[in-house]
Amino acid sequence: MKTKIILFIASLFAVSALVAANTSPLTEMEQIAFAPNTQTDSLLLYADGELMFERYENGYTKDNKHVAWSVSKSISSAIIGALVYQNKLDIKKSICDYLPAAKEFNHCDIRTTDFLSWSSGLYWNEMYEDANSDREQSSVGQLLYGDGTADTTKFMLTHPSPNAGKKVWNYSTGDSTFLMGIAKAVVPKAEEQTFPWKYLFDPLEIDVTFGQDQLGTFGGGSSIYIRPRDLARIGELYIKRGMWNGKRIFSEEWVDYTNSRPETFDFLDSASFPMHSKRSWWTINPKIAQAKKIPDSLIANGHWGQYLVIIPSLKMVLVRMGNNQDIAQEFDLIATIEKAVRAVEQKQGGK
Amino acid sequence: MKFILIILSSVSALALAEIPHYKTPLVILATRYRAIHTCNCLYVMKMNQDYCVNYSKIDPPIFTVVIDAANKSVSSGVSGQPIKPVVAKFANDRTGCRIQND
Repeated sequence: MKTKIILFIASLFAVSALVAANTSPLTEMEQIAFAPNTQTDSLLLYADGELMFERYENGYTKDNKHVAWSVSKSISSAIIGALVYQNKLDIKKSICDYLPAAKEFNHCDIRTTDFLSWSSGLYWNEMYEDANSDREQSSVGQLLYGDGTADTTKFMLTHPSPNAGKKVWNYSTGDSTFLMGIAKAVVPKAEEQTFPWKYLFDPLEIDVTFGQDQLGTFGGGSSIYIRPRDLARIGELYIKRGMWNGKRIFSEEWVDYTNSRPETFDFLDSASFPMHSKRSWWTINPKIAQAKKIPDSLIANGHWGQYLVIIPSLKMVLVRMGNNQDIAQEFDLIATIEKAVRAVEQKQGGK
Repeated sequence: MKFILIILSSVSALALAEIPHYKTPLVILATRYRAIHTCNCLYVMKMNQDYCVNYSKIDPPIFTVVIDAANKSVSSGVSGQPIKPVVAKFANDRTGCRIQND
């Protein structure tokens, strides 16, 4: 009888432990991110530089690189930050100071900071997925697989400024790709093929594949392949405000610049923007973030569900890679971040 | 009246001039997409053939894929059409696959 009671009490503890496990924020995060048919390939959560959660699916392991798509834009901005720290360029100067060809196309009023802010003012049609649209007139399609493949930098320069020189915010894979054209122009010839590794990837000890156009200019808008753990290191670099193992990669001013809103991004009250633009990065729409109690975030966001989420105040990094092309239901990024934040707060003692 | 027409036509000419007219036809865009993404999926991401052929699919499903594993290259054409296939070939770990020029 006594044994039975003890067993009964023990089983009660076991059940309550199970219930507690099922309702922990970390478990809830996993259930949301890996809900049936979500096509999440990997999810990693770090706090204070420590791995708290890691899971791979759909045939991926920690050793597979994953296509980063537009997360490449944010990584390219980090490369520009490193080149600025090395005094190779000034983002406030005209692009004509670095690319004489820009003069021929009357684009001397545009600066590197405008490209970093998706605000070059150059004509751009970012549409590409709608099978009913005129896919031949998609600027992205032509940049990556058509007229632009020979020389992406010159391809960008051939685009007009329809707003008569006025800088307007227009999310553009072309603007981000052009950054690597500027980078190639400002580094010594011997570094043209190596600068992303020399100034960013090698110091972080990460192995990255970076596709190029036919001239050898890196595809800064979309062509990076990276392992999720390596992508998380780029996130950590922002938490460490540009310092890595005692070596400065970019300045603290660069981190603050990245984390600022382009003055051209004036969709602040629009419900159609769940994310707001930073400089080649994103943040959660503050109204949504406030409602979900998510602190200030810096997010790299790529096609078909690639995300690098940095929450500096919690020293938190979240990586989600996936393949949303076959699913009707979007991966719920906000709910995943919300649960991740709760899990990190719990770990850090309810800060 | 003539004056208004001139103004109108110059305005519309200006508007047309603002939008570039791209030249590469859809067949080339689609076969290059199919070839390069299958190639990078196989030799950079190191996923299997079924996964990669599905990953790089395009609507409508008329763009074919032929994998040459020995040469780490992928060619793509259009089923039922005698066009010259586009070939993407793995170059190296740093830059991945590249479209081969003629």
